[in-house]
Amino acid sequence: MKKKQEEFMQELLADFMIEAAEHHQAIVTGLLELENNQDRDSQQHIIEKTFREIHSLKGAARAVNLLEIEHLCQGLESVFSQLKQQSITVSKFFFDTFHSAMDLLGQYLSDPANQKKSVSADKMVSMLNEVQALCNGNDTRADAFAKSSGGKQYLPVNLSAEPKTEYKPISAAPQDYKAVNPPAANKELSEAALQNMDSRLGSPDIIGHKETVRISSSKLTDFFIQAEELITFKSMFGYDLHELNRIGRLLSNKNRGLSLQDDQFKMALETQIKTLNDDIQLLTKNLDQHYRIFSRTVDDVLFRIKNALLLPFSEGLEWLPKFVRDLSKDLKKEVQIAIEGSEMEIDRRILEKIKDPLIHLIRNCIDHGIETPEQRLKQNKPPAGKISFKIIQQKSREITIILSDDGAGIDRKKVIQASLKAGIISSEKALNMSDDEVYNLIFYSGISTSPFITDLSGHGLGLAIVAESVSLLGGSIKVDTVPFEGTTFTIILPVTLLTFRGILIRLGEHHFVVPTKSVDRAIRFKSSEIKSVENKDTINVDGVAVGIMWLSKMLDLSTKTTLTNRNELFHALLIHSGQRKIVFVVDAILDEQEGVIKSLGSQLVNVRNVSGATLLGDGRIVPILNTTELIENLINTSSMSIANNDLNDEENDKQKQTILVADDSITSRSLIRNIIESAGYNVKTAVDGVEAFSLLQGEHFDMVVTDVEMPRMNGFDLTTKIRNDKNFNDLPVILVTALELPSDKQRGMECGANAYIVKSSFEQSNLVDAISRLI
Amino acid sequence: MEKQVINDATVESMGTGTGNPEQDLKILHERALALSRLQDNGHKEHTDSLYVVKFMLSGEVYCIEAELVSEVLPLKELAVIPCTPPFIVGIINIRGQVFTVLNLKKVFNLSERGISEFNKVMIVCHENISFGIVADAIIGTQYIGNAAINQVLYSTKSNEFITGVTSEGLIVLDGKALIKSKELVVNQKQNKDNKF
Repeated sequence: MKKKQEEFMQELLADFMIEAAEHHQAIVTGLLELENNQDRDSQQHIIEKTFREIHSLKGAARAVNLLEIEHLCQGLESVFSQLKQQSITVSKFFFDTFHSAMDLLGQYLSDPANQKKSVSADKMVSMLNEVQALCNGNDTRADAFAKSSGGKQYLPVNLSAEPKTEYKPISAAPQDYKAVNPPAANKELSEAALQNMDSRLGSPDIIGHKETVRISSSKLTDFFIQAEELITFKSMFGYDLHELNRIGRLLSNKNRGLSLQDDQFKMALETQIKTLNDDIQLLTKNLDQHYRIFSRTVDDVLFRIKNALLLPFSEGLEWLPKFVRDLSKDLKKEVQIAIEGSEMEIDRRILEKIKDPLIHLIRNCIDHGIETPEQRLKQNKPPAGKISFKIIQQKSREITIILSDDGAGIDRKKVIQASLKAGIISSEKALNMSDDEVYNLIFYSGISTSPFITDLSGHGLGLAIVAESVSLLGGSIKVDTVPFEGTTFTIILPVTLLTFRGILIRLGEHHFVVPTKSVDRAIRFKSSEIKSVENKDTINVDGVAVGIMWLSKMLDLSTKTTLTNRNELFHALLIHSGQRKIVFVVDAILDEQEGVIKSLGSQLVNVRNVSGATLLGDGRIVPILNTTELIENLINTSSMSIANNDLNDEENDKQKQTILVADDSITSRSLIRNIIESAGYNVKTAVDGVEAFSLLQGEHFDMVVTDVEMPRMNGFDLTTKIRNDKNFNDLPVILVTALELPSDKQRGMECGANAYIVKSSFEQSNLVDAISRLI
Repeated sequence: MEKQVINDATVESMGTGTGNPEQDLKILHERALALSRLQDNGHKEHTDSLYVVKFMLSGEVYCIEAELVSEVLPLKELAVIPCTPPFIVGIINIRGQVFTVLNLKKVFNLSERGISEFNKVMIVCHENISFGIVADAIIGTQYIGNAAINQVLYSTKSNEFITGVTSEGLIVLDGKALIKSKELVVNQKQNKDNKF
């Protein structure tokens, strides 16, 4: 029972933390609004709103027995209550005290487990004293607090820089500022205010809010992932449809080619096939329709859930005004920020990931962009710099952020100097660059125009990271600047994160997916077009020599890429990563896939050249190649040329014999395949007897190597069938099997197999021997 | 495990209805008592014995705690992941979830003589880590008494994953150590080479 109680308290506390964080944010926002708003009426409105938030926070803290928070809130509340009754007015001292109180609360809330360590009760108490002193407000008191709060200097109230804020001594009797509990007088005040507030709760300004439900974001994300899985089902449906179509075509072709002797039998068979054909056509039609409906539903569901994951920008910008206030204070600059369009909605994951880049850009604005008040006055600018943060939506799936300041701008010369120093541009090029080109150089790493390296910025890395984060989200960034007038960053972001798209390719018997976004296009070239440049293979693409990557070699796959014929055509993808381009040679380019990126399982945390896996329509799982890493690795590999390989294989290849391997076990199949291939034969594989026999119908084979135990048609039956077909009378058959009994061996021989190899005593040489003897 | 015991008891007591309601009630009551006793025995058995899944690897019989095996399935489609150490067979998809598949022969340095059938995958799972292990064959399940497991005296690399060997030569794996082992995790960004 006791345990349950504890669990319950834990849950309550977790809920409180979420709620408290919201109130905390609202109070901070209220304070900032109050600070920037000089209009009496709207001030009164903000005071009312903030007062309510403090009150709610106090109530919530009491419910979970967090007395320190409750008391601090009570102190804050009484100050606000006096503000409301206009017995005191706001001052710079007031704001500083309140902001530090909120910082303390914020610290407390952000670290619930270690609250005692990071925020001592003592601190809370001394903060409460400071707050309560606001009600008394005389200068000596203010000095006393400055001392008691660890030497922190507050500006004397009457020296406040803001001319409009006035300081009125209040009429309330001085209180003992050491008292932990607020005096009764304040309590009464707050009770009165409470009633006042309660009576207002029913007022119409609360109505008109959208109805919302609070769902934890992890639940919603789970839901989204599940919905995203539906894409796989969509492609599975598509695959089934494709298969059904194929069977239907096969059946109608067979129908035409029939030439049976027995007329009656033929008629019966034809009728049956016709019925079957009709059925399949009907089924195909139905499935086609279902596929369409299903696809539309899946797209719809996904679209809706993606929308449910959209948040107004304001949710991700709550930190912004306070951040600007604190930073500009630290740097002794005056900065005002205006945010517009924060109601625009964007994917919460993008909002989370764009926060750090935004922090960086704004730091840059304040640190480098905005000048000190003295400098600004010299240039006939108002002493306070302005940062404008505008969010606009020009296209339906795109959000544009325009961040501009009225500061010093970027110095073209400095950028060029820094770029020359970093070796990003050549001096000839520097002369011919447009302003646009020059200013966008700041996104390269190593470029910093700031002569001072502060702890904030100036390392020359920041903007490169910003540009990278933005492009990872599928967006873009550019900069415009007018010297001495200001700088504008324009960031374009997608509203939702995009679903993964990739090109399905084949390398030997392996399949891989290459992300579509890194593929320029598919190309084909002849081996005679390959030129060796500095021991690296290149081909000419659009007049430029582009390096060739023999993908299967790069991935250490056993499939051999050899130049067999000067006219042989290679299939390849033109890939880009950043500015680099490269040609990936593949065996076949199959399809474009839409899907979900999955991990490689618990044991494969990080694998070279592979970034994840995705599911195909038929349920197969395929690795996704990491093109960036591949290209980097290629550059580090000294030689990747196969053009030096002799072309002698040309002759050999013509004589190469082809062997059909049938085995249902994928590992045995590839093992046998590898052994036979390395012995110099061509190999084709089949998963069972049925597939093997149908392959035999289609092309010429010099030998069959088959497992015995297979689904649909086993090795014995396959051998019998081969022996009974006059076309394959002489085709050698080797049985490779786990069956060791002499009776099995006997049966194998009776079927007409030429050799019988038991898997448990299998050795490579046995098989190769047997093959070379029989072929 | 207990479920099975109960089922057996129920099956055994089928068809003993007497037609006399009072006597039936008495019988039922006795059975209830017997059942609760059986369950107790089950618990007892649990503490000093191990319920295991037995499987074949290179002609030897291994076993692993059954409670760590979440399912056994035939190995059908497998995607080979390039640039991985030899003990990684590849990845498989089970109902939309991806599992890494390991080859313990490479971990234990067993001979690759003979073609592995590798027809079965066991999915093992412990503390949110789960992956597949390929086996040549799954033999079945059984209880082995803890007392019957002898410590392995010789010391080899693979020893850290082996609890011991029974008198019948059954090799008992330390499933939890195997699953939690960091050596069987490929993280090429951190350490370039793996031990196996």
